[in-house]
Amino acid sequence: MSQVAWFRVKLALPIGTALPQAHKAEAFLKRAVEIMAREHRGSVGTHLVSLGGRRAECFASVEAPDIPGGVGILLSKTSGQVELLFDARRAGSGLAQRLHDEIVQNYVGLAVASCMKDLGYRVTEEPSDASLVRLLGVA
Amino acid sequence: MRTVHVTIQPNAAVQVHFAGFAGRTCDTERQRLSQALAQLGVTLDVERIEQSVVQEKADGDQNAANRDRNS
Repeated sequence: MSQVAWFRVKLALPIGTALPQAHKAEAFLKRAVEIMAREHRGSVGTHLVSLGGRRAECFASVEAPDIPGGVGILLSKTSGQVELLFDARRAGSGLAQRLHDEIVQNYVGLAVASCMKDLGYRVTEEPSDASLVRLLGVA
Repeated sequence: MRTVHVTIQPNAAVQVHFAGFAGRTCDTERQRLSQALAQLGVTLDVERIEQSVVQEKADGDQNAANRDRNS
């Protein structure tokens, strides 16, 4: 039998240093940000500086030629949700939403690959157009 | 051979295609995957599920026909 299932994803990372999955989740989020930064030919840091010179510490930050002013990635310690910090005068909310979507997509890809391996699958990434992440698990 | 194809779109939509599973075991596998992902903070809300037993049956019929031809 075969089955095709369509899902809508919600992301809220497990929080609390006592949870082993929290460390794994944070590592995946960091990797997801790095992938996003690489695709924008940018670099990853740990803070964002506003036009007024104010420095904000972040979970991670990305500076790239096509991200004016850069973007900070925040991980809510209460909800586990991923939020973006950006200067709306330089980077519009549309761009921020797109970057957020890219990070979530990368994170879900990393999480799916990891879970499928844990479930006994041999996982490979399949070629696809740039907007999709495609994985194949074989058992 | 059991295969799972996963396609992740940028708008938080995910499509998963389970193939080669016996009976309703793809339901179990879907739940196992959902539970494992939930541990990492990824909640999968089901929008739609389609079973395709017809294709499998057609494949089975074709295989039987091939066996008949080869015997």
